[in-house]
Amino acid sequence: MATPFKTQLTTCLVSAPPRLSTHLLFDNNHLEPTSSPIDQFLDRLHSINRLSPDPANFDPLQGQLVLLGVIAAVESYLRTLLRKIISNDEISQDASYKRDISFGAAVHLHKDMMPEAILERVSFISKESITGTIRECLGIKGHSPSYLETAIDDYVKICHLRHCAVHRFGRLGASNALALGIQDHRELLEKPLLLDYLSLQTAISISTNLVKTINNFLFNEIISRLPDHTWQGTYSKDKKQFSLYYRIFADSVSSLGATADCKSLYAEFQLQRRNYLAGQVR
Amino acid sequence: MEFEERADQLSPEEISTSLADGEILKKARQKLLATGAKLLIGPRGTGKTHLMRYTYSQSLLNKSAPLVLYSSFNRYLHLEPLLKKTPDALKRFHSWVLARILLSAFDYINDLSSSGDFLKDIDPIFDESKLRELVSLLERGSGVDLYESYGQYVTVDHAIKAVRSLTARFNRNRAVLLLDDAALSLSDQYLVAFFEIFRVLKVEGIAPKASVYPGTTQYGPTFHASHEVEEVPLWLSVEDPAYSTIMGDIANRRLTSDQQKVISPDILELFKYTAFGIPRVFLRLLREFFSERAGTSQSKVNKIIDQQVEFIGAEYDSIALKLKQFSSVIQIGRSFFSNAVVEISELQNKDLSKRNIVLGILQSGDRTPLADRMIRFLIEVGMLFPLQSVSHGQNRKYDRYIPHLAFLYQGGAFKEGKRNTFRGLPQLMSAVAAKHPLRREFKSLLSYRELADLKLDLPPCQKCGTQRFNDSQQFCHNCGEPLVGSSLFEECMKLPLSEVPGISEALIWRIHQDTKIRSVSDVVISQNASSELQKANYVGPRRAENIIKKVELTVEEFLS
Repeated sequence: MATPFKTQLTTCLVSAPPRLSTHLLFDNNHLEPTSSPIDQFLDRLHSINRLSPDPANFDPLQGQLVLLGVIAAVESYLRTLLRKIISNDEISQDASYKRDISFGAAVHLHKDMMPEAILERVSFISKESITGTIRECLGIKGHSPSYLETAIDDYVKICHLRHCAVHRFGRLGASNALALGIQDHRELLEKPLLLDYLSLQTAISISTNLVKTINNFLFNEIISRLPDHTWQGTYSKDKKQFSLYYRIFADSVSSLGATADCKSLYAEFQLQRRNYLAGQVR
Repeated sequence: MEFEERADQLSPEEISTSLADGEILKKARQKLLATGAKLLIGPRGTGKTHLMRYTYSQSLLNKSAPLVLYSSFNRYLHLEPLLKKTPDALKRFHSWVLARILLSAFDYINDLSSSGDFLKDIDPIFDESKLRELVSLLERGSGVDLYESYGQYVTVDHAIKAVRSLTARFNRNRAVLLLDDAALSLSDQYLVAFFEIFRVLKVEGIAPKASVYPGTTQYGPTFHASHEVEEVPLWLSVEDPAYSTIMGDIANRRLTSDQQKVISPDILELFKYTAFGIPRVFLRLLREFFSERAGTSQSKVNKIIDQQVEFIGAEYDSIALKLKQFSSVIQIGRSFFSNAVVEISELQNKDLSKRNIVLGILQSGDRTPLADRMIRFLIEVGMLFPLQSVSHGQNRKYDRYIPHLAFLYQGGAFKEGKRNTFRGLPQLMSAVAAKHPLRREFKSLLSYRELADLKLDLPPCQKCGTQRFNDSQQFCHNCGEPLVGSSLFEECMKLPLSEVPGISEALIWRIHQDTKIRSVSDVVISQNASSELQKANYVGPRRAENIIKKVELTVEEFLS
């Protein structure tokens, strides 16, 4: 049978691409930083903020790319935080044992990094994925407080902007419009995203807020549910246990509002605990 | 003698008897009772609170009037620190506003000595004691638990439902919500949130009315004052034909007959005009007059007016302490105002046969939003009275203002010969008005230097010291650090006791010696400030209460 007719026309001239060896692209000598996830996040935030275009000469496209950087930093924060908690906190370990990981990850990943594999298929871009993952992997129970809900709701809106930026070069898609509220966005379908200076600053602020809110929320949840016998009541005896958690959550980067030092925070913790045990309302 | 010049400190009886008549007030009263959303507009001291409380107590017993509920939002700044501390600050503010409105329903029931149990039967969320606790906790910066378990579930629908149930229960046709102190002029975020609620409260059978300052035109993206609500001006113009009569009525209602005999009609007339349409200033002038040594000399009257000028100026200057980012704007505004006063005074004094007290500023494209804000501050404190703008030909539209008459008086506008007289100003107010205002361009009233300095004063990055681009910047462009703004409320709480007027140095020294109390916050936040204060020598329960009162007054003044 004759070969079917297939044209050989040229629409674009394509040259031979240079080779890219991806295995050389990642820094093999990198050592996992010992700083807390929030510190890592804030350091990255600083670097990204410096790339932000200035208001007098604002480039919306550059603004969009900066926003993507921030969202990447948020996601990385969540992964690192969850991994560190699971590696160190027994109750969270129990909760996450049932989760699946890929065979490849099981064979090749170092034990400390294994929890990252749990999160491999999770993307933190919807309210369900953020709260669901946190609850399931860490075994958090009960109602989410409203300040957390607010922070997540606000952040998810930013994620929809991200989706438009990444997959549609900034144009508003129908599903994103639905999620953002079709009433206000109906007219704007397929219209390009035009970030200005103020909205970019606001979006970064919302993202930073989410990180700080989650950091507070999880620290309190996890430290509060530890069984009573964990604590002896003096800093010297409890230091080892308390600082284990302190190191996962402490913010030492912020110039204002950084976490108090370990001993002071422990003192505050014991004070609140004693007040509670004495039957007083906080 | 003493008489109270703040309506929120008056008893219901005093409220009812002391409200003046006069067309502008009658009209405003009608508008408050009418259907439809309204904004009651006037600077501090024009009588907004007085009028609202009067309307409330009058309709309480008058069965043919609509149901009127009164709530005040003057404590909004107590929630301001939340904006810096929690992501759901606006939601908590939302439930604070609604809780205050629901409480106004219970206040109504209590004032009629009726029982509010029927409300609780309709919906368990209508729980007076829980609402009171929620409000008081939120204002103290706490109440997270109660908000989580209860406050967050209070919605606008609840407020509407409660108001409707009350309307039916007390056999009224419809309801009016008086929302006092809604200017929220020191927190834009809360202002926007408040008017979002205001807008949805406007439903069939319910008419919300809010009192605000003049000059504000932006109430947020979803609320357009001009076409959603009617504006009801309460600031009486000194050019109003009935001006002298209305102010006279206020004096008659507050002064004893002896006092009315003592004060000469000329001086009373002069005080009316130097009060510039603001009853609170008028009452202050009168109080000073009666508390000073006897005598009716010109120099005594001049001294009283000078004091008031200084007082009003200080009130204006204090905005710079509260809103630090506007301190240059406030300072330059002061110089703008002084220059205008000098020029008008000069012009007016040249020809006393015509009244020439209006300043016309050419509308032009080079006037920045900051320049507009500068003028708005002057209007908000009542130093500039805005008039309709007029056109003097194509592209020559002028915004017109009358500067405060007490300042013009002090500036020599009404001098006859070399001296101020009692009669100069009142006589001029009954003379014919000049055809044209003093016409100036905005920039001609300021030096080149001042124009360049008209900018926001933003604190530099707290980490690397780099100057900010603008006030919407939230991250430093040099080091990337989140920029931290200061909280007005916290600034106030940090004030040392020595800043509280009326506490002697000796007393402060003893408090320092014997107690742990150092700053305003120690008094305000402490569970039992009284007993702590009483640890100091010569401080008993009475004196402790006195100190606490003075501190509370300082806080209120600072945050209003």
